[in-house]
Amino acid sequence: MSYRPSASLKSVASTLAELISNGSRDEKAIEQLLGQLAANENVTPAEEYREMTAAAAGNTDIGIWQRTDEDGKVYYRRNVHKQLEWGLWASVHEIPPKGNKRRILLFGESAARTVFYDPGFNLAMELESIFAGITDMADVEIIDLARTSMLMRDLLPLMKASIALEPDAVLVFAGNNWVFQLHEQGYDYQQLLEIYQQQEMEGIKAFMEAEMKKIVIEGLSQINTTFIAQQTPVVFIIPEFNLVDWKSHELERILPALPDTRTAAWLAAREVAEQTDLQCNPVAFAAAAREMVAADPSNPYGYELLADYYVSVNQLEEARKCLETARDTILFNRSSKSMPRRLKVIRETILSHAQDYGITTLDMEEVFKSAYDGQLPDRRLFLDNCHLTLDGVKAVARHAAAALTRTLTGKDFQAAGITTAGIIPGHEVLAHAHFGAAIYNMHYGQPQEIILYHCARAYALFPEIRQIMMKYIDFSTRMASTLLCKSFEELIAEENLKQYMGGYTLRHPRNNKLMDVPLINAITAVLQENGIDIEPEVTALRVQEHAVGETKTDLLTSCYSQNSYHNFFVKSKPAFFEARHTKSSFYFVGDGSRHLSFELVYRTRNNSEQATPVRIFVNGRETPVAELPATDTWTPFTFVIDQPLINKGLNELRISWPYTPQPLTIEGQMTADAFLNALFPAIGEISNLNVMSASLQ
Amino acid sequence: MDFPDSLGLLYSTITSYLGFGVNDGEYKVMGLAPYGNPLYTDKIRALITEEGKGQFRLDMKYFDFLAGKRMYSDYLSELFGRPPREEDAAMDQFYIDVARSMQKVLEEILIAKASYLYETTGEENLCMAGGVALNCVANGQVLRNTPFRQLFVQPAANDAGGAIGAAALAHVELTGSRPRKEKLQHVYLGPAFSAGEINKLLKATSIQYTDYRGNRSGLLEHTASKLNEGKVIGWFQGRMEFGPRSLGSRSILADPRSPLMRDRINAMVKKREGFRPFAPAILDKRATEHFDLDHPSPFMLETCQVVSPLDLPAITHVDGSARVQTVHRETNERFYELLRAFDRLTGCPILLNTSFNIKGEPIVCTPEDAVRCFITTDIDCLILGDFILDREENNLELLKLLLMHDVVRQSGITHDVYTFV
Repeated sequence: MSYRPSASLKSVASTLAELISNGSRDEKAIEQLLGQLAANENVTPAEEYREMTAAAAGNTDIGIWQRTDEDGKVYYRRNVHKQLEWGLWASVHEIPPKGNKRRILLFGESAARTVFYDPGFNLAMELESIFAGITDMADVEIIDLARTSMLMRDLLPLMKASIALEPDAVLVFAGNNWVFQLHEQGYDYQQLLEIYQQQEMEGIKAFMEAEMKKIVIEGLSQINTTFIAQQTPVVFIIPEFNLVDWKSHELERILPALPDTRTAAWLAAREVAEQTDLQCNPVAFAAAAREMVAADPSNPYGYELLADYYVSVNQLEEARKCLETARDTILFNRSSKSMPRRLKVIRETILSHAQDYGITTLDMEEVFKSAYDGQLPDRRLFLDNCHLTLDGVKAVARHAAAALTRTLTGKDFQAAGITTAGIIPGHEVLAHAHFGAAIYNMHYGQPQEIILYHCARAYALFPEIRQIMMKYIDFSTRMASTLLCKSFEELIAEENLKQYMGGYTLRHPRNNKLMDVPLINAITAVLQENGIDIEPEVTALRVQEHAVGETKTDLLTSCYSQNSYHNFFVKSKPAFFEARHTKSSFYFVGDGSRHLSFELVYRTRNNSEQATPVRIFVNGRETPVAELPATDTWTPFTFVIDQPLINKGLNELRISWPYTPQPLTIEGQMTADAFLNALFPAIGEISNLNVMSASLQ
Repeated sequence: MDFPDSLGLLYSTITSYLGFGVNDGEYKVMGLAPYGNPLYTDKIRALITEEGKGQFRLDMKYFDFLAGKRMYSDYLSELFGRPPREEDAAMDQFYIDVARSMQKVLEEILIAKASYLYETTGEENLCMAGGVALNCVANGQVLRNTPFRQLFVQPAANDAGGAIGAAALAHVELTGSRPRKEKLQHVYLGPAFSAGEINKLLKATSIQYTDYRGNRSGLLEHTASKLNEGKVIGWFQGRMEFGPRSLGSRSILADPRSPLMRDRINAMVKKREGFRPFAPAILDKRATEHFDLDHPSPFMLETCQVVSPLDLPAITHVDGSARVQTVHRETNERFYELLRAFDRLTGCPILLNTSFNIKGEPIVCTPEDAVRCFITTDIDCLILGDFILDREENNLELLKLLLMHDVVRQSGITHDVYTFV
């Protein structure tokens, strides 16, 4: 893939060049233009897929399948030139010519792909299995055109191309990825700033929701034009979200530039909430959570805590509202890796407009409420944010089969009338799904508890999965890129990662590898519970690969400074580490035999003499190992941590930054990055953080 | 000279007209020039107004880079009577002659500038910087056609050299004093990797390799032997070079005597135009036996005629010239010893030396970069510090397939127009 600068960047560069060539002394204008250029890092479109969809729109390909004419019949076979993305589609080599069977096309995203089970089990298989047991539907085949990471702009051309498959009906299970369409289209950031200044985050939210609504209506309109207008019925499954078990990441909880004293209020309320036992003092807990919501309504954390309270007092509808609001806070663009989700505005827009476009809807929120007696969706239905468990898939499949049966037969047929149990995948498939979920939850910063849960389920279902877990530990812990590791190569060669989208999605950008510590710790704990002690082995490998020695180890390297793939939403990243929340954590590995010396070059955004100092802690100890003054100039600082405080193996250095309110100021030209940097200001920055053996200094 | 009257932008504009990328294709124009005749120097001169003393102004009618879309305007095609060459189109003689003409005018302007500077200063030493100063053919002409006795070009004379200015400024700000004046001995200023680090990487992979730690002579003799067998070697040693030239730290090496070697390397690694020559690296003390060179050339920044009694087709350009690197024991001992080992084995103290990278990617920096390049190309052996990886001892097909899935984030610099960022 190659990335090109946007066209707008060229015109900015030209304006700058003209100013310079004219001998302009307007330093402010020049500085603004330079800032604008710096802020506009290249957009990184998935060009390979764009090419694919362009091809689909312009020629006869359908997704990865290429048209082949043989003996007067039309086959679609996988295109070897698109082999790199085969793992994102159904593992089907050929789509045969339409025969006597009625044909239903399945479109959708990774949830429809049945990620983590596929190709061992998927929604299309389950539907065919169900149809086989329904009178009048046994002659139905499902053509599975769902693709992992399908975006709306790619879905609609694919639908148009698929007309050639002569569908009798269409099933769409999409919407989780539609929010990305919103982020892709760009905005007038001056307008957003004005909205924020007048109406704060509520105004931004209303604006974003209005934009999202337009996108959804346009999508429905195109589905209507493509299928309904051609007399092909469409059933649309509106996804649900794992409200209970998918938590916001700390980067999604950073504070915006709040007016007045609300920053302090939010921070104080958070401290109260985190220190209050919900069971012992629910009223104080709820009051603190409400204060957080009041101080920063754009922040998911307050809503999540308030939902905990409502759940504790069995007010599930109130809890649902809180969790839905928390879910929808990704409209505020804090993290570039806020995961797919169906927003409230998407559901409501589909429900209110689908009928106008002749589209039948199946609302999973209502289906799950009904099936689970109004309980909130959680790990029983979801493996992560939006990918369904076996039970979840089966519930969706039964209701979708019923809706399609009604559509194709005209008969009143309900899901309750389905008698078949469908497909029952083997324990190995189920175990792989849970292990895949553990990986995914970890990469997107979910709590240790849920990672542990999925690892435990995986092992309980299929203890042999331990071999795969051990290889995972091996390639994750090594410094070498994952793709180069022998253990990873073996997993690919033996097809042990095929349920994790073929395994290739575990590749990481160069110089951006994670150590996957939470997952490795979870695996270690699960095996320990089952009488297998791998701790010494893991520690030895960590020491071998990462132990701090006589040369400097750079703790800003991704494997030490990152624990998930969350990144602040801006496109242009500075060449130094930025902290936007109060705690920054860094791993380092000790060999247990030496004092270690740390070099830090840092600055904060607050240099007042009264400011709280920057504090540095090690391994969760309450007493800081160093205290540094707040300063807004780059300042070097060195400190030593004595050997007794350092574990053999993994250690954690935590920096606690002082947080003070900051005015909303836009530096230079208004761009997306300038807007976001101003809205969510960095509070601490580090240009160097090195550690080495102290004894040889 | 003030912006936009830039010799570099003039050269880049013609580079773009000839179908090569701006910022990365100028050296191809230089390499193409000897195949042509200077039939269009009048057209090139029409693009500028010469003002004496090497000064000139661009006639902006022919240039469009200020608009930010492309380098040249439609008037340039009108002037030449031919449309711009498409990137992958065949290279016909007209475009080759334009390249030759551009190079000739460039050399004339530089000679005029240098002559003026000599007349003004009376100094015997000339220093040049900027991307144009990497035009080693022109540098040779300047040295031969002006009274200057010595020419120094800072080896990272292109935009990368801005880092030196930034460092100098920081030095002045932090210490209050000017940086010390010392002769630049070498450019091995980049990162180095210990044998332990390299071994750790190799152990993580499935690749078979031989450990020569503690056996340097064995490593050098084995490498020399492989080179003599006609093998293409990836050579990764010590600190990386600063600047655009590989000078024996991150290099692809081969036997310069083989008539097939240039095409072989182009096909297996570089995937580049066949007309471009590869450069020779030679033991410093033997340089005059093989090249018309009377002074050290440690940075490969000038050309000279090949006068060797040996037949050296892989490094000799069509005009009989070569872009020589003299290798000195004091600054790159291991590379020097390899050349000696090859000389002992073959009687040839010269190796073909080209940058260790794949077309479109930067020169490898880390051991992992080198291993990736080794896997994804057809390089025969990789000498990675004290370790030797031999393709014949490995099946790298699956690793190659895996690396096809790698996400490569390419530079944001566009090559259609000079990017002022």
